[in-house]
Amino acid sequence: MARRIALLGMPNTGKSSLFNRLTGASARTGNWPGLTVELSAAQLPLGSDLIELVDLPGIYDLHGMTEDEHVVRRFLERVPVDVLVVVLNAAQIDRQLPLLLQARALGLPMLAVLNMWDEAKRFGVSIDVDRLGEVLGFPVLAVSARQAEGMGQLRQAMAAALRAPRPVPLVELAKRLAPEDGVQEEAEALLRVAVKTPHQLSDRMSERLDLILLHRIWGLPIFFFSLFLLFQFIFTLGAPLQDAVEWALGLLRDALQAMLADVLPAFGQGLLFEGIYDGLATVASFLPVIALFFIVMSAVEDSGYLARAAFLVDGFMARLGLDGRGFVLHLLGMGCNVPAVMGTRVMRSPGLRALTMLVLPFSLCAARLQVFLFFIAVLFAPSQAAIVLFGLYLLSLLAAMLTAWLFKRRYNVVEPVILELPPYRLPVLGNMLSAASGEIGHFLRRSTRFIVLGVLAIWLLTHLPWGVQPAGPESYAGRLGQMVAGVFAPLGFDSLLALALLFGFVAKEVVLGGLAVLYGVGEEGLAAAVQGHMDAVQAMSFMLFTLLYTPCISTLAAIRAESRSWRLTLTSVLWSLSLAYMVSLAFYQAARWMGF
Amino acid sequence: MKLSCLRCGESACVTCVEGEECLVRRLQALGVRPGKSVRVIRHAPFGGPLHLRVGSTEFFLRPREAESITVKHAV
Repeated sequence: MARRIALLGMPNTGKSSLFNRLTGASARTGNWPGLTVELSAAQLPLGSDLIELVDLPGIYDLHGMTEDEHVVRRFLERVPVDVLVVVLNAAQIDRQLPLLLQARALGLPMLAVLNMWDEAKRFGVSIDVDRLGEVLGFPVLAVSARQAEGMGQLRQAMAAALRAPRPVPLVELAKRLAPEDGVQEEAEALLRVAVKTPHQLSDRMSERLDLILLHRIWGLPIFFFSLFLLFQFIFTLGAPLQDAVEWALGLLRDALQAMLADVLPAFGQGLLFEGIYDGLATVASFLPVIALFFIVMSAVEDSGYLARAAFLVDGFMARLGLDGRGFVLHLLGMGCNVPAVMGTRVMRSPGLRALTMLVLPFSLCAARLQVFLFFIAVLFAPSQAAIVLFGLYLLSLLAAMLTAWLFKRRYNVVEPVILELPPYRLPVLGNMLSAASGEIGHFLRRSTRFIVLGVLAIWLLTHLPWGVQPAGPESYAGRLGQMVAGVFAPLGFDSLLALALLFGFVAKEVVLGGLAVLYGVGEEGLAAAVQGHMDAVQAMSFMLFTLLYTPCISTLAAIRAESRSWRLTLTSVLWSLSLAYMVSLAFYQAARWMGF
Repeated sequence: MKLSCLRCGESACVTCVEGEECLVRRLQALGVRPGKSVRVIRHAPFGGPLHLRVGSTEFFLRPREAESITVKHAV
């Protein structure tokens, strides 16, 4: 059996960055206490062996009663661990030793890692590492995972610790834990012998930045303006990249088609190129923008600004029955709603979690972004593009607020809100790229299957029964479209648009690929087809509906799994559908009435 | 007196942390213990949370939770 090393530590000690450094994998890292909610594990070669490294959720206290603390205790009781690596934030060693001492009482072979060593030096904290190791009786190492300093030493120390005989399994963990009072006193004693902290600790840079960014009046406007600039940046840089990918994929399609022209029958070619290839190509052309989004988002997360945003909006969120963490999850949900829904695990109260889960699907995710980028590029001037997109983001926030305000009475809760504000950190390019590539990989793995199946289903529905005019009134798709057309006509959607929305229920990524198939054009032809089929008012109404209507199947599955409640899942579907219908209806009818 | 009585920029010495067990544990883990010095850095807008510093750790908590911390002015 492979030997196992587990990482234990408080939130915000850079445990996940350390995990990523050691494994090269990209578990999500966050400058945000308790974000690592799933246990990430990876195999890595160490000396001559292959070991398994497990990243345990960040906890404050082995005695604690939060869900994460239960998870850690359950894990340690049930899964044999050969070496326990306790990660501490060196700059905050004054309060982090008790957890280390609690862990020592378990009697496992141990290592202590003082992470963020560079930051500790910057703050003037000096730690006598050797002395600390002598008193504790196990190795203590100073590292900086973000700067990749001390990693070689850490690997050697882990390999050395593995040479110890395998520990006996931990049964009745609670009994092994030392009584708490002793731990606090021992920690104080350790601090006296091995740690010097300056009388007035200060991080001048963070203090000065906070004066501006956390300003009572200007803090929020600055935050939203920065977000707007980031979107502008993503859009400006992403658009040419997108064109390049489209062009390359077009060339590849022509080449492939020429090669297969004599081999495949017409039906097979249609299925392959107009179905699968065009569907996938449409999605692929948006990858540059989505990649940029994830890179930027991970930088913002890493910088410490997200926790500040939570601070700024918490007072306001409290009135909606939510808290600052919900707001940050909403921002993270802009990548994908699924991890955001899973991120609600940091909340203890079931009511607060339920309300947050109901709100999160309104976060404008990458899949919807893809649809909007397309329609905006086709129907609006480049100078207006960023503003329209920003408006959609604002609307998604408004929808979330309305939802919270309407439902807060049903899920009325009070939960203590305490959140760390880490010092500002300059994002490290390598970390940004690895976080982003992990996210994109996740996005692709999750969505490719849905997209291929979705696009394939659409192509078959539009081309069967045999011999009908593609997507014509006689095809299955046409008949289905006519069935629902009446319902959607007041919103300005024809039967084809209605069908695309219907397929989008599976995954919003399918909407565009689906439209390309429905209109019977390739991905290059979609822009012209859309311009020919609808005007700006219809397109706007379509975007509004896409923004608000039912969460995709993956998100619903996540909500169901996290809440264990069908009632909440169903509420989410019905409420978002009705909201989408009402908003699109109001917009379309009002715009037409005003003569647009 | 209660922590909430402190003005922005003021420091005081923690004398007592009491309330729901989860809350107390969490505060202790962040370094809020009797004898430690705590500083109120700022208040958030809309009657929002307090930005505090204990040792080298900064965090925010809501006024309601701040009620569970009793402090006295350092002499």
